[in-house]
Amino acid sequence: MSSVIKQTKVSARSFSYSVSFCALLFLFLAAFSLLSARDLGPLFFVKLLWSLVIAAFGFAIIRSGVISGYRSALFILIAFLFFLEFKFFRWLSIANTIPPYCHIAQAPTLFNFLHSQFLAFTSGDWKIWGVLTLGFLWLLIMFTIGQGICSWVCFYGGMDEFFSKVLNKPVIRLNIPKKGRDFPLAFLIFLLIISFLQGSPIFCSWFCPLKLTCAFWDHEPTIRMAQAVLFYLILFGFVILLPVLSKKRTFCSMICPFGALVSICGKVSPYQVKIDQEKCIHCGKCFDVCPVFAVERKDPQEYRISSYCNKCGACIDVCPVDAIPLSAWDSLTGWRLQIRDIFLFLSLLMTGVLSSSFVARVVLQLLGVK
Amino acid sequence: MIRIFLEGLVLGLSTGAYCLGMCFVFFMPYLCVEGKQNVFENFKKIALFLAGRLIAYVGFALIMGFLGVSQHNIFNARLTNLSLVVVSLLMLFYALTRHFSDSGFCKSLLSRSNLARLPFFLGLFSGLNPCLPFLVGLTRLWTLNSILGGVVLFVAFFIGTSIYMIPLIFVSFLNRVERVKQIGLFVALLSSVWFLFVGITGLIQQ
Ligand code: SF4
Ligand code: SF4
Repeated sequence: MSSVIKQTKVSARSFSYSVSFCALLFLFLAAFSLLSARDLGPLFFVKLLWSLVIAAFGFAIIRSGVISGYRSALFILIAFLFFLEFKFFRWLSIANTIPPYCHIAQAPTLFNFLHSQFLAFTSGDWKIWGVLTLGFLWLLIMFTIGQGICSWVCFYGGMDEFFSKVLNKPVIRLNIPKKGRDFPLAFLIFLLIISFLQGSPIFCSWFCPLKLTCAFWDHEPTIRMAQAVLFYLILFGFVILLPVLSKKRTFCSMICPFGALVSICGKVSPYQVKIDQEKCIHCGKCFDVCPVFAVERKDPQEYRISSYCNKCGACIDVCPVDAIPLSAWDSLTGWRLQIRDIFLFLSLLMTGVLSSSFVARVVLQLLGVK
Repeated sequence: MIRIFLEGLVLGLSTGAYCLGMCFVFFMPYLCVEGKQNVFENFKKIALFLAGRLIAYVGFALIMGFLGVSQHNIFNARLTNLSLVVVSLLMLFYALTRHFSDSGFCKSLLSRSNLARLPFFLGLFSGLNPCLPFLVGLTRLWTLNSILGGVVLFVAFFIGTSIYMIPLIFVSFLNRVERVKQIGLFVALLSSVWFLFVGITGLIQQ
């Protein structure tokens, strides 16, 4: 068995391959920067610089064959810049920017959104029929990286990840039984119905710990008090304390309704993380390291990855026998294509495109460029 | 009378989607857990639930009719919030005992309680909750000033909203998957705690 364990990482690529990967990624991001900045002003150059940063991360991942460490650093950096731009603008004395329509809020208010689109549609006012743009972006993400959005793009998940990286070793061993892992899905169903009934985003006003504001709280003292208790409980408990102590992303895996929605819709993505049962030596390392409790232990001899996997790569990196490939369509056709690099390319591309707008803005604001 | 009946029917049909939402929160989780793979068995459960709602509506219309306009405001707000508290407590009791059914205490509680009658009481108390369609019906009731008219209005309203319940017959077919039952229980727990809070704060604020 030890000879099997000593196998080297097969995923590290040659220098020239890594440079080509990085150059191609940079070219795509540079083209998008030009399209979105519209002229060759400071905004374009900062976007170009950010494209270079993303491409450099891409090079590091491909060259070393190690996904999770570099991904995590990039993910946390993006979350940090997002919070600088949208949440901590007062401390930095920069302009107040209203965040774009929050993707976490989209999940529990999906019925409200569809209902408003239906009303707009039936009213014949095509201009306010925005489902095409948002819907298209959503489909694009789901058909490409799928659940990967939670570990590559989500700015809020980056906060949870940051706190889960504070300590080197977990102080408490946290494990959620399989039944409990479905709680966010139930929470999503509950929120969908309640938000629809009350005609307001209940998750935002009651449960979201990441809004970092009390602007949504009610004026009535009893209700305000209950909202405050929930806010601080979820923020300190699930975003800070539990991640620090357990090294798990507890908000993402125990509460987030967006994660639950993505775990269903993301099944359409062709890229899935699977355990090769023939190679697996049942060491349980993937089970221990998964930050979102997506590795299930059926019995001591069988580990499986559930639909809650958000393709962070931690288990792939830690597996001593490379038994966890990123494979495509294998359940449909029986093929096992090694498409890891295509997935990494698409994830980095999405990350770069979606983060470039606010990253470029906050950098310019910090530099004092108008 | 025919006009009032049609009015109630149209009101029920047009606001039934909201009504369904409110009833879904309580009744769907129950069906997810207890539903059988048999249309007739499920139909019986839904019929019980609907009977509970019908009695709630007719009883409410009668009480409002006897009380007279002056008492409406104070009485209906208390009654609807109180019924919300009761239905939430019922659901909380059910969800907790089912969730912890492995423990001896919950097992004995479950064996002593008659779960077959639960849909009736869920219908009875959720029928009176302060949801949008109910409040619209209530506003119309005030202007009628007739006990019989009120009863006809609410019976027609009941028929209109009940049409939206038909898909519920098929919900329980999902529970062949064990996961669905567990998710149903979580939804029941969350909804009961939420509405318990809404009901209690509603009562305090009056
Ligand atoms: S199963 Fe592996 S890739 Fe998926 S979230 Fe867990 S550690 Fe990350
Ligand atoms: S798949 Fe998981 S349990 Fe199997 S060898 Fe790899 S790390 Fe160990």
